[in-house]
Amino acid sequence: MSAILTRIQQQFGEALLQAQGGENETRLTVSPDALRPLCETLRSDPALAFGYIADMTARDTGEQFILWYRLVSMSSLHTLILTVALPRDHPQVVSLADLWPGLNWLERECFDLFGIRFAGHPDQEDPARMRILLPEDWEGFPFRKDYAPVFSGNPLHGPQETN
Amino acid sequence: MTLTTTEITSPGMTLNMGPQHPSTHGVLRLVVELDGEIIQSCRPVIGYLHRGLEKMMEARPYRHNVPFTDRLDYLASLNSNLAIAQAIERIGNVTVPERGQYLRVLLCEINRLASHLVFLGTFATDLGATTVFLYSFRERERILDLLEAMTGARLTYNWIRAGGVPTDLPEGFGERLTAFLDEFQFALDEYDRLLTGNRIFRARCEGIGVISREMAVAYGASGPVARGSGIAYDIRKVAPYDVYDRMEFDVPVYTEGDCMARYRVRVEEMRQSARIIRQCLREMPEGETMAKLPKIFKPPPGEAYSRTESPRGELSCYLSSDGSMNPTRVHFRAPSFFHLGLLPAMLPGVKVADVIAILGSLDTVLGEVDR
Repeated sequence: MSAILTRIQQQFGEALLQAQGGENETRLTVSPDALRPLCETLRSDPALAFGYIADMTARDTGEQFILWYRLVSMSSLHTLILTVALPRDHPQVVSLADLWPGLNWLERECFDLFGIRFAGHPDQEDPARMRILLPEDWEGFPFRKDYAPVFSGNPLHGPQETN
Repeated sequence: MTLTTTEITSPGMTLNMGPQHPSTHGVLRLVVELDGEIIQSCRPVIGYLHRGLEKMMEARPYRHNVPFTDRLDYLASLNSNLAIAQAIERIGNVTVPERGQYLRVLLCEINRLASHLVFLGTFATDLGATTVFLYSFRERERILDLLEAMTGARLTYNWIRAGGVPTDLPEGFGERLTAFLDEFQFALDEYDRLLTGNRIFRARCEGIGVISREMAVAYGASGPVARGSGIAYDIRKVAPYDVYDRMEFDVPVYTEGDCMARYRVRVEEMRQSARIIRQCLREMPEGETMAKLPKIFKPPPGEAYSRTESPRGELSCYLSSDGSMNPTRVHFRAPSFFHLGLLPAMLPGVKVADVIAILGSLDTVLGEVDR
């Protein structure tokens, strides 16, 4: 077990639903409630120092949404993979864009494509400002597995309704 | 009669740069709030090229998705091919034969040269030095000829596949490539003389668009943008893939963080790429180029991601599988996406004329931003 995983487990032992530590990579699964305190520690603890957000995305399993974060520590070059499962009927999670400014656009992308809401995101109030890749007035979230667009006739306006 | 002076204040102006403007290198729109010629705030608007490639990939078997990646970073298609090929190999536990790995490194580095030459030409043109464009495209033309001889295409190569590469080097390729590299080093010196010491060029680049080390890390910058800000972060060194661990090359790092530093990193990278290409040609073993994959390729359920160093930075592909023939999710970490995200933090306080220099120095490709 790596020193990095041991250090995280000392503080967040119970909050970790799954943990797996390797030489270069640590994989963690946490509940949405534990995400914020864990990430604050990951960012600020000098022994961890995961200051670099390498990637973040979501996927739809049909039953729930899985958020997937990839963090890198610039001092140890260790990679940390963080997975969070969100319920499909109420996909909301805390925004981490203030910890890693690079996450700002990635969270907008996850809202745009999956409809996951990020509480505390600077553009959270206005869905039109949250949209990033799709047109501002697009309806529905096309990367959801049950997305079935009804073609409105105008390709620029997107679907009129989703079912 | 006495003259009095009053200070005139005017409301700020909103200026739309793009989406159809040659300096944005694609379809990017920047909404900037101006006070005089100083930028108060900037909001990049992207998505004009969004084709839903990642969603389309969910409806196709893994290996059918490689041609889509040509349309991500269209200046370095081979590097984009590599990102998805590597992810497919990781999720399906495929090992690429040694010669295939060498050929990948060889071709990716040739593609890096072509991509950096486009940067050199367009960046100088943005700043008013139109001559460099003609010279750098002369060299790029010869590279495209070589790539055409190898892959059959000049822009969308679709040549790096899951498992290796489909064809071996054509007859006389090594000699042609060596002859090109011998001349290329003199061409690079020529660009250096044209630009690096040029007073006008330096005045437009030095101290312009400074990205601090902390900012580059926080915003997820990678590639030449990160290395221009003093971060020695190159995936080819920190997480070597294929045969990069056997290659001898240096990672150029400059600490200034300005447009000049990013330019210098790319010029130096071209010299290093030439070194890698020569080593590949010298050390490449004989053998198979492609691993045997089953006709119906069903990787075990799970997820995998690749990490590759494209000319723009860390390009990685995330795949998730449910055990069926098609991936359930494909996601690309596009370096240009992160670099454009830097603009709202970088541009306030900058003169509007410098936006062109800053945008050019980030070397973004909108195809991979919008996906």
